[in-house]
Amino acid sequence: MTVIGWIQAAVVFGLVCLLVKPAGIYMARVFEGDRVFLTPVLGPVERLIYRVSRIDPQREMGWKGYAFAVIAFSLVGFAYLYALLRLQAFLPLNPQRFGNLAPDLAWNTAISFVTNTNWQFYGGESTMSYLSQMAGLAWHNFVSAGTGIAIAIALMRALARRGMTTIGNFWVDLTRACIYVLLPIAVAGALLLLWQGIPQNFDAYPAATTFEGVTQSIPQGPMASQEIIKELGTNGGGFVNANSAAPWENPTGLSDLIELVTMFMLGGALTYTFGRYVKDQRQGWALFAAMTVLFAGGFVVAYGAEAAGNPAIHALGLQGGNMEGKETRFGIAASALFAVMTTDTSCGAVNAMHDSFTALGGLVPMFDMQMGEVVFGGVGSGFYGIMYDTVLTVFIAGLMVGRTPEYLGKKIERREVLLAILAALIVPVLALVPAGIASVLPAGLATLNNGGLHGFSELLYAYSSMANNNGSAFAGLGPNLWWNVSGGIVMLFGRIAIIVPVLALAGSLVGKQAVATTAGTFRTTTPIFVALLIGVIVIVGALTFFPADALGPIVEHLLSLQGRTF
Amino acid sequence: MPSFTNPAAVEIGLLVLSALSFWLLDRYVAGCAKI
Repeated sequence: MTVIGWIQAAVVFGLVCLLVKPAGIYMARVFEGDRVFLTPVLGPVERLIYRVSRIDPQREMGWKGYAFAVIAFSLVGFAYLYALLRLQAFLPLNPQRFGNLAPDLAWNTAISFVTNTNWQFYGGESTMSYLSQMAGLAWHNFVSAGTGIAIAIALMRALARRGMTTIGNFWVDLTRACIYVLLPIAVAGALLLLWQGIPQNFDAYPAATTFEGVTQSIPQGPMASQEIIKELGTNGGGFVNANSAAPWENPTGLSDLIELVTMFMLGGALTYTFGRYVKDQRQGWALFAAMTVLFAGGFVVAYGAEAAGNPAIHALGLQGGNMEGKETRFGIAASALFAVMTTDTSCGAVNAMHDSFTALGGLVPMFDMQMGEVVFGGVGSGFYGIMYDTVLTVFIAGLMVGRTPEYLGKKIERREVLLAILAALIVPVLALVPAGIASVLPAGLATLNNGGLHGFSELLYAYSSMANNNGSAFAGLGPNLWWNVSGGIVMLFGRIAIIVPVLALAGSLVGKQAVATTAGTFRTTTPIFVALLIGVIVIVGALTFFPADALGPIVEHLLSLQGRTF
Repeated sequence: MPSFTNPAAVEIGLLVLSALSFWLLDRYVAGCAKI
């Protein structure tokens, strides 16, 4: 580990911290319909969308209406993207004349982008037309991220309101998230990335002759516009297969910095927005503190493991850290930082190949996902994820002191705890059951890139990633009918089967009246609460995934210390 | 009997699976309402 490496991480996180308050205040104003500096420009656009879509922005929804709207929107988005991918050969903006995607690959990809997962069983540069990239994939990068933000805001409203039945209007929240939050930042960020050298054009791929005399096709296209929303919306789907490890997607140290900061920016800022909603900024900072500790812990372990390197390589007389699968221009620290941040959030973009990390270094991103991606998390999904962990935390605290648990003055009762447990358990079920089946099924094992323990790690990582809507992979896992179909099911239910109980939780909380704070109330702004919340997040993740992790990366790590590799 | 790798059979199967999945999610909302 180097001083420069630590400084890199400190600069990235420092910039995130600087953006949390202004972005948090901005979002709070946007979602309450207050005037912001972009209102003169975007206000008419917003009203036009409502008029054309026949949306009454004053009409609010109960939690079931909100949930049905989310599901209906996902269904329509899925059908649209599936049709686009199946028909792209007949549509314009296809200079490379790519054919239509096969049904199972189109199905997997459509679900992947609708659910904000962006798992990629395809190579973008060799599969997708520019129209598919822009009108299909990038469109969903915006609206799936907007959906996540909308749900987080609905939950904040539910926690702030007293004795009501409605939690907002999904269509209004989605529209505002996309046009006031995501679009302006994406435009500014895309221009910055363009300046750094990321292409933005509709040209056919030029052919270049390499030093060896081989002709090479150079992928390009409308990349910069897609690159920024890839991180800002914590989507992660790369324009090209190598994602942010490719020079076209991440050409410089500054582009790497921009991509890292935008990954955490909105997830961090939503904790501040939450504080504004509940009129107690300390509540938001408590969540931010828990996220910060978990992020720092993950980075220290991952960076330490990668910097320590591989004992089998050391035995050959080659000292130093583990550089396999990493870009030399980024090095170990920036690669470990990217891996941790992309899995703390639901992003899934990569600037190094996680498959080539050491066993311990690879375990960190895997465990980040298995904890539910609540460390800043996906835009919106990180907030509502840590909220059900918070309900479980105050429930456990209530059991400890023998009082009915409360959060923000609202009693947490049987229904809220059951919904939080449902949300917490659904992802482990969706990850572990298919992983168990795939590990004994020839079709599940057929396309793995690795054998032995590392092969199991690859498989477990894949389902952990898909169930949590992350999208990163231990590189090399190939598609077949089993993986396309099982992955699609896991991604779809991994997204919506959490959103529904979260909205039900919001519906339950919004009707509650506040109870008076007394000396016996468990305060949720103290270091004790933060420590307990961290404990719940880690222990729930560890208890559910530890046996499976022990069969893969943990044993792999212990054996690697004896010089064995897989 | 159509092959499992026949694209038409796969396409129809996936469309049925999609309809079933979204129907299950609709029922899931009703189930969560009863908790």
